[in-house]
Amino acid sequence: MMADSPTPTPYFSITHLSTGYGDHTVLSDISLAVHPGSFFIIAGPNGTGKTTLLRCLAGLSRPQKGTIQINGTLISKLNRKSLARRIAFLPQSVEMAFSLTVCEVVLMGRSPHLGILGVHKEADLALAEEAMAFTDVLPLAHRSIDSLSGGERQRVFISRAVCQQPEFILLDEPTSALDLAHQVRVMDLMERLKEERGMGVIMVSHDLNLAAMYADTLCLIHQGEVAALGAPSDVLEKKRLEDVYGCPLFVEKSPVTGALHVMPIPARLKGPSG
Amino acid sequence: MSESPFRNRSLYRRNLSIAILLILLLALALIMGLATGPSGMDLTPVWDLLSGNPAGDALHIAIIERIRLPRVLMALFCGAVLSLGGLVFQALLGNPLAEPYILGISGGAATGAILGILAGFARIPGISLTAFGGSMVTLFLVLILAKGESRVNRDAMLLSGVMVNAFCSAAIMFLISISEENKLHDIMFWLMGDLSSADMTQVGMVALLITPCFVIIFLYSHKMNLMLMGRDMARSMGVSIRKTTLILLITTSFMVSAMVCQSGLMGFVGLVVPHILRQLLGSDHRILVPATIIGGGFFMVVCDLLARWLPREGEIPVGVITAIVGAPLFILLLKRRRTS
Repeated sequence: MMADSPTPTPYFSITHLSTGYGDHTVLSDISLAVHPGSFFIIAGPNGTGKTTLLRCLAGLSRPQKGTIQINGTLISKLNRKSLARRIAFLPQSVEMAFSLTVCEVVLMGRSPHLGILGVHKEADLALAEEAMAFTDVLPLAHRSIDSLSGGERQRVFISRAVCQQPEFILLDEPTSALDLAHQVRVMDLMERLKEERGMGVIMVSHDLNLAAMYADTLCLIHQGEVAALGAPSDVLEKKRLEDVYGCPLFVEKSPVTGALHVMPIPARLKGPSG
Repeated sequence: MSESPFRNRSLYRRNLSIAILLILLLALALIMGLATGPSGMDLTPVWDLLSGNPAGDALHIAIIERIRLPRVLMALFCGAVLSLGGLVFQALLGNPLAEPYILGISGGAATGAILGILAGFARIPGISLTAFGGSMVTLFLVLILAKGESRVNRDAMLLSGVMVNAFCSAAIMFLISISEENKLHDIMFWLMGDLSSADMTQVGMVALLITPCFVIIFLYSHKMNLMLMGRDMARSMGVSIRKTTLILLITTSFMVSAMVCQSGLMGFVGLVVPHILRQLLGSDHRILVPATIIGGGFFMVVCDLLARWLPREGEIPVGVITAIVGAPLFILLLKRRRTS
């Protein structure tokens, strides 16, 4: 199933990963590899274990069976801080009980590189400022996080992740609450991270159209298993998608981007036989 | 905006002036506390004591040294400990309403202390230990009760605390009903929160017990900052949540129970002081931890001063003053959270 395979050793390698809560299995026997500096998108219907897979990769959930290696080291052998120097994570929603300023949030990204009290040096400030410039949040520097719009908040959190200087950035549905312009803006930022800094991106997304335009590798998860893995143009096959999502779809190549686009078909347009 | 956003001189200057103001206010409150007695305020003997003037009024100086100084210092420690306890619980639980008294930690400590009194233990170390045991039992009860709840319901911990607190009150009532007459006075002391019987030995003991706690909490102040971003984000930035939570909960419960067993129950201090300081200084715990220690000390010394000063005869228990200030603020905060 591996497409694009002239690449060298993988960054993440997952072997026979299974996990669940109690008796309920969420992921069963998943094996896959993510290569350094790739743009890897995990898609699939609701409740199929996409977020769980991402959390396992971030070291936030422990698999019940199987192993995850980062650059040949078992993830369970890395402590929190050294893991944090390699991987930045952005959860789907961030709830804060007390408000912080944009500056404070971004600078927090330096913590894995600092001592226990998080005392920063000049170089850390420069990196934070640069990360803020990269995601265009410098004008918001002294605003409180509470006062920002959804798109601005997301860019601040991305800025924090960039400031962390990880090798991979892991995001859980970063575009789901954003309008079209902000969706593309976030995806463009991720693409630039990859192109300009060689940072790898793993993203859980519901948006197959964005995935088709940006991902090098698309992983389609269905009922806790890998339904398809490879270049978006190979994975986004009408018949397969209809099986996985259980609804009629319209798949077509966009004349503008050359990427495949997937559209659901409303029930009223279905034939009488369904 | 060519200047770096991180070199914000005005913010730095503002925080510095707030810090200086806090320290000056505390010093002023301490002097007022020493100078005020049943016969009104008199600064001369305080000055004689501080300057070591041999010609001063010996009796008056002795009163200040033996009676007022330990009381004022105890108030200072008590305010610092309870406020810091509130700050830590609020950061750990991500809830501005969390506070040792409301979570039942103080109530548990008091129950333990009363059991210690009934058993006839000495105040230190016996009653301190039973108080600590009581606070740990309530802490674990609250944690277990709240554990099954989803993260969405952040008030679960608070509700569990209220429940445990109610249980502690019942236990205290029961213990009072079976107490002998001669122990009743001691017990009532816990319930009202009273600083009048402090002496220098107790003050020294408390200082010895709580100072290491302050240091530990300060060392974890940056981790508390990271935890404001939620558990997952904090972990992904290198914080070991379990270890941090455990160390902070135990340290805080220890210092609160060491304090409560000397001062009795005092509610809402941990709510008022961190809330005001957060409004003034922002959410960086590396600033908030020392500021809360100073600000909490100031608040309690002033409350104690009011407790001695307000009534025409005798005094009000200081716990009454803190509750009068704190309870309305609690309701205000709760309402604001509901609407947001």
